This record gives sequence, structure tokens and C-alpha cells, in this order.
Amino acid sequence: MEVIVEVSGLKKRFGSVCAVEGLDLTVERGDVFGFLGPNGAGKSTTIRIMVGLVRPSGGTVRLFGRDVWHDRVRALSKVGALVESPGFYKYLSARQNLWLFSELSGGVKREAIELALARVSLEGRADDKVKTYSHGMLQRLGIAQALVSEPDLLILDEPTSGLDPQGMKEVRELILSLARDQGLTVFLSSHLLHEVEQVCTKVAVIHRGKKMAAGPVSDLLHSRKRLRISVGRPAEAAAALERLDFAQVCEVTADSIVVEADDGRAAEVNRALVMGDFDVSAIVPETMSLEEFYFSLVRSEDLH
Amino acid sequence: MKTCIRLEIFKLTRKLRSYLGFGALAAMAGLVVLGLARGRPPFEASFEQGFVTVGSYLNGGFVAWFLLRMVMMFFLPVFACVVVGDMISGEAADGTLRALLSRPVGRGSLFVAKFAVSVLYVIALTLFLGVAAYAVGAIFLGRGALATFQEGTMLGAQGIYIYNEGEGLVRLLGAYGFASVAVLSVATIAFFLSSVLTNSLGAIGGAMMTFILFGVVGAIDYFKPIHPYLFTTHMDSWRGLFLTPVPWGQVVKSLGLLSAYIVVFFAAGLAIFRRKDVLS
Repeated sequence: MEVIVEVSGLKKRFGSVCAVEGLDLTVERGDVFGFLGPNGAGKSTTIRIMVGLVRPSGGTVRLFGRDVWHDRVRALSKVGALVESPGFYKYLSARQNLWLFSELSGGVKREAIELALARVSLEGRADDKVKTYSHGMLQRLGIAQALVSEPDLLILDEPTSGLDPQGMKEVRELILSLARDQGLTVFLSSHLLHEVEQVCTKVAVIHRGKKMAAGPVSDLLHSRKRLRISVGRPAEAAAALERLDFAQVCEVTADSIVVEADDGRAAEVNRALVMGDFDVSAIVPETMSLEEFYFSLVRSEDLH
Repeated sequence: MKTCIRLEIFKLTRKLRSYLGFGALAAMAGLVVLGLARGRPPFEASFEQGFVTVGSYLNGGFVAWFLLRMVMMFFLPVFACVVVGDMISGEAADGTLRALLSRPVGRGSLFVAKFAVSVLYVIALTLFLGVAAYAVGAIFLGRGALATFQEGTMLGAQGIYIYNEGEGLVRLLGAYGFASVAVLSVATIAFFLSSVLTNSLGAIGGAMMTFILFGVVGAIDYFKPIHPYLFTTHMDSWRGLFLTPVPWGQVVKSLGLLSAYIVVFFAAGLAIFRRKDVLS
């Protein structure tokens, strides 16, 4: 598969603050890649480096095989991006704004501008000055701005922020259809986990500038299993399991405990409990949602 | 690069702010002509010391000369900086700079295009002042020989210099050309600050502060040794073009120093802009 985005050993320091610490990411053609992390994790900095706004302190970002800092014109020629909240010339109309930005990517036909406007349902307001737009309309126009020059790679920073539930749904459907029908590669950052779960084929989770996990969504969710264990003396059982390095207790109730364990180690958990003289009456595997997976990663990092 | 310049001109012509200076200067030309037509002519006292004037020296050429003398050391630089200081920082504040720079455009190209359009703007604004002053003056006061008055300037010459209409026009054209360069030297400081700061008020204010500070230092005798290196000292050298003979050495030296300021601040801005992290 053709590699579209290659981030290797990326570092960024702002004074003494390290925003990104040795990040590696690979996005292949056709991926819808979700980039997850809490606020301040380094998502925005990474995206700014990816589109050539910020100079990396170390490492490289290559788009279509071109270094984005040293060869920015060629690296960015097939990229459409929306970085944070969209900025527009408020004294120009939406159509004029789209025309202006598309000119910088080499220019497009009139129809491409109309199509981009139609895709985000703004064709009726296209001649109004942008200063009359609501927050949600600006966000939609921001996506149109990223789409207008018919890019092969779409980089979207929190594309649904500020939209109402209906708008969010439309944007998600738009991203899915662009990826499915036109083979666009999409890189999107989000802190909305269900959004990423619905839209993305692959995800990477970053926390404090470091990658915590990356891969296809389904693989990640199955890499760690959640086991609900009905057991006598749950508090003592939990204490006994804390000693195992492949399992982690995340919930203790009156008659059961919930344990996260590496895939395929349920039997070992069971054996440890039985050897410790605990009565195990049931072990039920639970599939994690991406949200639970994400919190388990971030929590385990915070403990260290 | 061509595309960048075209788009910058497009943006500039659609912004209300761009017309502020033109409007204000046109209004000033109107007020000055009204004042001259109705009131006691300036410099009349100089004449009364031994001249008998036949007719009036108030005409289009005189208005163009008189107005330049009035606005050169403040209003013209302010109106230029209001637009030029907004060129990059204004886009940073509006969030459009990140959208521009995540497009496949060279940072250097964008910077040079923006500066080129700033230069065009400064020239247009300065020449507009001359044309508006001359036109309004010619319509309401008539045309004719150009009378200019030199009081103790750094050029050391004093007196009244009178030129026939044709020569007066040539000298006015030269003076407005010089004025473009002089205003551009302040505007380039505003442009430099605009590429460093993320709000246009800081860039415009910073350039004006520098301008005023240099003016103050230039007025204090204690700092005499550095006066020849202040751009403000040289902005007034356009007056030399109305002397006979023209002190070319002084005028060229002033142009050289003003150009040096332009080159230095342009180069420094370019070097910073090419490498800076865009975080706005």
C-alpha cells in the first residue's frame, strides 16, 4: 500500500516544554486515520507540523514522500487541511473565499467550488459575506475550504467541533463517503471517541506527546480484554491480581471484579485466583468500546 | 508568486481599511484648498518684507507642495502603516494565515508578494495625495508658477524659490517620488513588525512609536552624532528638490539611507517569516 503520511521521530519543543516526543505514524492510501488524545496531548502541534506551519525540533513529516518543511510546495500540493477553527476573510463572500484559497493550490474550475459548497450545504448562502455566518456555518465552510482544491489527502483538526448533532452526523457521513467513493485519505484529530469509532479505520492515541497505541480500530479493541469475574471476597481477589503484570483491576463491586488483561490470558487469571483459594463462579469477557480502551491507556500512563 | 500578488491585490481592494487613507487625504486636500481660498494665505508675511505680489501664488502646484509639507511627517506615514502593518499580522489575528500557509505556497513567495503589494500601496497613496492636491487646487484656485518657501531646514537654505509651471511640476513629481520612498521606510518597519507580531495594532503602534521616538531623538542636540543615521532626519530631504541649485549630494544620501532601512527591515522580516512557527 502506498504510504501517504509518514511521521518519523517527530519532536517539538517550545522552550522547555516538550509538546511532541518522538512520534511515529504511518497513514496509507485510503485510510481514515483517527488521531486521538486529550487536550494538550500534542495533537494540534502534530497537525501544525504536518501542514508546514510549525518547524519540527527533530524528526520529519513526509507527505507523498516529500518533506513538508523543506519541500513544502510539493508536499502540500495534494493536501486539503482544516487547522483548528477555520479562518476566513470576513469581508469576502464564501464563494470568494473558496476561490481565493483554491487559487493558492493551483486553481480549480468553477464547478469544483460549487461542488464543495453543495457538499456542506452552503450553496444558498454562498454570496453572503462570511461575517454574517454562524459558528456552525463557518465550520462547514472550513471543511469546504479543505475540499475545494480536490485533494488526495484531507487533514482535519476536530472537524465537527461547534456543530449541532445533525451537523456532526452530516460531516461524519461526508467524510465516510469521500473515503469510500473517492478514495480520499483522511487524517482527522478528535477527542470524540464515538466519532472516531464510527468513522475511522485506524487510530493512534497520543498522550503527553507520545504515542500510546496505533493500529486498526478492531485490532486495538481486541488487544486487551476486559473480564468480568464473579468471585467471592472480591476486594482480596483484586489485591491478589494486582501482583500480575499482565492484568489490571479496574473495578471492584460487592460480588465481582473487572479486570483488563492481555488477549488470551483469561485462563491464567483464573488459575491465579483459584490457586489463591478464591471461588470463581463466572468469567465473562466484555468487548471494550474505544472509549474504555482509550481511558485504560491514558489511565495506565498517568499511573506510571 | 504572480498568483500571490494577484490575490493580495484582490484582498486589499476589497477591504474598507485600504480606502481610509485615500479618503482622509482627499478630505485634507479639500480643507486646505478651502482654507487657502477663504483665509489669509500662508507665508504672506514673508512677502511683505520687501515684495509686491501681483496676482496670487495660490494654485494647484502650491497646494500640492504645501500639503506634502503638512502630512509628510505624520499623517502620510500613519495612513500607510495602518494598511501595511495589517498585511501579515491581520491575517494571523483572523486565522487566515494558517489557512494560507497550509496551502502549497512558498513562505518566501507569500512574504515577497505581500511586500510588493505594500510598496504599490504606499506609492499609490503618496501619488494620490499629490494628484488630489494638485487637481483640487487647480480647479478652485487655478494653475501657474510654483512658489515655495524654505525656512531653516537641515538643508540650511532659506528663502523663497519660484519656478515656472513646467519646472514646478517636475520638481513636485520628484518630491512625491522621494516622499514614497520616505513613507515606505516607516511602512517597512510596520511590515516587519507585522510579520513578527500576531495583532495588527501592535505592528501599527510599534512602527508609529519608532517613528515618534526617532523624531524626538532627532530633535535633541545631545544626540547629534547619531542624527545622520535616523531615517526621520532624512525624510524631510524632499525639500531640497525645491532649492536652486538642488543639493543632489544630500538628496541622494538621504535616499540611500532610507533605502537601507527598507532593505534591512525587509530582509530581517523575510528571514524570520521563513522559519517562524505559525501558532496563531
